[in-house]
Amino acid sequence: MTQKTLIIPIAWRSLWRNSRRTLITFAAIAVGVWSMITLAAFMDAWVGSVVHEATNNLTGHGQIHQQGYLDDPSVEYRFSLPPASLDEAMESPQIKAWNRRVRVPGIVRSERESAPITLIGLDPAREVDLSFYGNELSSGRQPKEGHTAEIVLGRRLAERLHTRIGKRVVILSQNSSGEIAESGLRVVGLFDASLEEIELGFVFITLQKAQSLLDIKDAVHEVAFTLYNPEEVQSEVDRLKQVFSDLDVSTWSDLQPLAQTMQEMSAAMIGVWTVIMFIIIAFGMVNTLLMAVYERTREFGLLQALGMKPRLILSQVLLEAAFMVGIGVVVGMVISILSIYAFTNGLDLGPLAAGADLFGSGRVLYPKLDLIIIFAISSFVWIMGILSCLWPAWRAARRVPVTTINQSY
Amino acid sequence: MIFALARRNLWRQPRRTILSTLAIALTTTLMVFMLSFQFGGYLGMIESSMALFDGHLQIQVKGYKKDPSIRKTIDNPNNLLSKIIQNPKVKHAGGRANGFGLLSSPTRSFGAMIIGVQPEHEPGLSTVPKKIVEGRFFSQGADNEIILGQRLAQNLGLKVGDAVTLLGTGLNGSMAVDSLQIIGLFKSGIPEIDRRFAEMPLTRFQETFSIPDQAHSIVLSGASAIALQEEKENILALLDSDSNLVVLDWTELQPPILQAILLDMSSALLIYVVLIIVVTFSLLNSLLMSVLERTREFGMLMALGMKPAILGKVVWVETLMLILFGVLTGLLFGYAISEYYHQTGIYFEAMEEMMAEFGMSGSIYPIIHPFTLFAGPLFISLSIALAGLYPILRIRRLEPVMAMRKI
Repeated sequence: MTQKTLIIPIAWRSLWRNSRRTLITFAAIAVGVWSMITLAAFMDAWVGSVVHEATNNLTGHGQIHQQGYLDDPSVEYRFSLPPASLDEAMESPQIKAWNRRVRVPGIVRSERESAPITLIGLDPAREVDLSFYGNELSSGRQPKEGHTAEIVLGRRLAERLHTRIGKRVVILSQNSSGEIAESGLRVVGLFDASLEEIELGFVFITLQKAQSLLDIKDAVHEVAFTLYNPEEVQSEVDRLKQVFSDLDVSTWSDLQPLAQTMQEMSAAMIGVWTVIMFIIIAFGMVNTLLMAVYERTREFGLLQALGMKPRLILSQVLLEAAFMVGIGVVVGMVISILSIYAFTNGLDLGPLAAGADLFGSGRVLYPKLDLIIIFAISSFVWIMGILSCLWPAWRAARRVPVTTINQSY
Repeated sequence: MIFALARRNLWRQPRRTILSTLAIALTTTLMVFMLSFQFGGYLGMIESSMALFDGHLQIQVKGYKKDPSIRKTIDNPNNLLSKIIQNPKVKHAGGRANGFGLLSSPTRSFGAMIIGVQPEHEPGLSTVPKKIVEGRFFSQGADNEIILGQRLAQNLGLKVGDAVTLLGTGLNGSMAVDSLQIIGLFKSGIPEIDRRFAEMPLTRFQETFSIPDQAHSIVLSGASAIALQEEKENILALLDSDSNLVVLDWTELQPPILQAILLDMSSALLIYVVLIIVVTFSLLNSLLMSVLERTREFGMLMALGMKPAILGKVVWVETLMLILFGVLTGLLFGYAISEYYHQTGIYFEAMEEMMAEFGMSGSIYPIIHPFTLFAGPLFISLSIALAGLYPILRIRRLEPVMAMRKI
C-alpha cells in the first residue's frame, strides 16, 4: 500500500528533475489546448450568429404557411383561421412571441425608380422578441394602426429609390382576383437590417392595409413564432402540426437549411482540429517522455532489483505523464477562458462585415464559455495524452534489471 | 566532417529522429494541402460567383454600381466594344442593360430584373446560355423574345412558346410596355435568381425602355477574373480619357466575395500560426534533449580541444537535416494529395447547399501554386530553425570540467 502511494511523490519529483523540459512540454500542450478551446468557442459564436441572423430576419424559430406557399410565395397560398382557434393554439407556455403576417412579392415605385420587394403586412408591436423588426426604427415611426396609407422602407432601399420620409411611393402587387392592385403610400419610417438583402428587399405596412389592398379579408400568409427554448422547436412544431393538420408547419432549419449546414460543418471542423492538434502535441510528448525514461534506465533497473514491481514502474511513468499533460491542459484551459472572457463584449468583424454577411453571420461575434465543450476537449487531451504515453511507460517497465544497471553512457 | 558527425548523431536515436521527422512532415503536409485547398476554394468562389452575370471585368458609368439608375447609360456601346476587343487578353465583350419590370401572364404577375443582352456576345460572357433547361437561347437578330428563370415561369404558370407582358419604367419615368414570347427557361440552381431574373435581346430592351443605342455596362471576359484584373489599367487607357466611364474588376463588382476571402484568410492565418507554434514547441524539447543528454560528451570533446563554435555547428546541422527530412517528406505528401484532388475535386455533399449560395457546385478543386507549395514549408523551417538556436546557445555556455561531471 505504501509502495503504491509512494509513486505519487516520485512521479511528481521526476517531473521537475528537468524543469526546462517540463515547462516546454507544458507550453506545447497549453498552446494546443488553448487553440482547440478558443477555436471551438469562436466557431460556436459564429454558428450562433448565423442561427441568430437566420431566425431574426423574420424567420423565427418556426412558421406556419398554407401548403405550397414556400414553393410559390404568392397571394393565392393564404389561409384564414378563426382568430380564437389560432390564439388558442399559440397560447403555449413554450411560445415567446408570435405574429400573423401577409407576405407577398410586389413592386415599389418612387417618382424616379422602381424595385422588386417583398410586401409585408403585420402588426409591428407583436414583432418584439420575434424579429429585428420589433426593434426601434432607425428613423421615423411605425404606421398608425388600421387602414393607414403609410409604409416603412429599408434605409438602403429608400436611397436607391431616391425617396425619404414624408414622400410618397406606389406599391403594386397582385390581388386575390389576379389583378394588379396599386396603392399610394406615404413613407413614415426607415429601418436598418444587418443583411443588405433585407434592407433592400422588404417593405412593411399594417396588416389591415395589406389585407384590404390584396382583397383577402382576414387571411394571412404566414404565422411566425419564437420559443423560450429553441431546442424544443421540433416538439412544438409537431404539436402545431396536429392542430393545423392541413397547413404546412416548419422549423427554422427547414426554412434556413444553410444555417443548419453551417452548424454541422463547424462541429466537424472543431473535431478535425482537435484531433490534428492532439497528434502534433502527442509527437512532442511521447518524444519527451521516451527521453525521460531512457535517461533513467539505470534508475528503473535499480528500483526493480530492489524489488519494485514492473507494474508499479509502469504506473509511475504514466502518473508522470498524467501530471505533465494535466498541468498543460489546465494552463491551456485557463488561458483560453481568459481569452474568451476578453471578447465577451464581442469580436467586431468591422470592415469585413459584408464578407461575414456572405457567410450568413452578423458583424459582431460573441464567444461564450461553454463548460461542457471545455471539459470535453480537456479530458480528451488528458486521457489520450496519458494513453499515448503507454509506449514509453511500457519501455521503462520491461527492462531487465541486471543488464540495465550495468549499462552506462 | 560536420555533416558526417551530424548524420551519425541523428541516427544514434533513430526513434526520436523518426518521431520528430514525422511531426514536421505531418504539419508540412497539412499546411501544403490546406493552403492549396483554401486558394482553390477562393478561385472557385470568385469564378463561379462571377460566371453567371458579372463576367471578369465591367465598364460602367461612374456611380452606376452603387446606384443602378436607368439614366446612367453608356452611349454607343458597339463603338466601345470594337476598341476594347483590341486588347489581346480580352476574349469576349458585350453590352448589357438592366431594368426592372412586372411580368404578367393572364392570371399572375411578378416583378423581375430584366437584363438586355447581345445574343452574339452573351455566350462568351455568362453561363446563363448554358443553363437553359427548356427551349433555347437567343439566336442572332432575335427580337421580341424573352428567357425566364425556371421558377419565375413556373410561378407565372407559363411555358416555352407562351407570351408574357412586360410592364416597367423606362427612361425619365416613361412607361415601358411590351409583349414578348418565351423561347427558353434557365435554371442556375440559385432559387433567388431563378425566381427573379429574365433576359431579352439588348436591341429590343433599348426600344422598350427608351434608351436607344445605349447600355448600362460592357461586360468583358478573359482567361480568369484575376488575369483581367491585371489588365484593368490597359483597358481604361483604351477608353476616351474625358469620358466618365470606370472599369470595375471582380473586387469591385462583388465586394462581399473579397471580404469573405479576407475574413477566411485571417482566420486561417491564425490557425497556421498556432499550428507552427505547437509543432515548434514539440520539436524544441527533442532538440534540447539531444543536447542535454550529450553534455558529458560535449564536455569531453571540448576538453580535448574542440571549439564550442564547431560543436554548435554540428548541432545546428543536425537540426537543419531534421527539418529538411521532415519538410521534404511533408512537401511530397502535401503535393501528392493536392495534385490528386486537383484532378478529381473534393466533393462535399453536405455543403452543396451552402456552396450554391456562392454560386459554386459541390466540389472544390485545390490549386497548386508556388505560394501554396512553399509558404508552409518555409515558415515551418524558419520557426524550427530559430528554435534550434536555443540549445546551441546552451552549448556555448558549457564549462568543460563541469560538463564532464554530469551524467
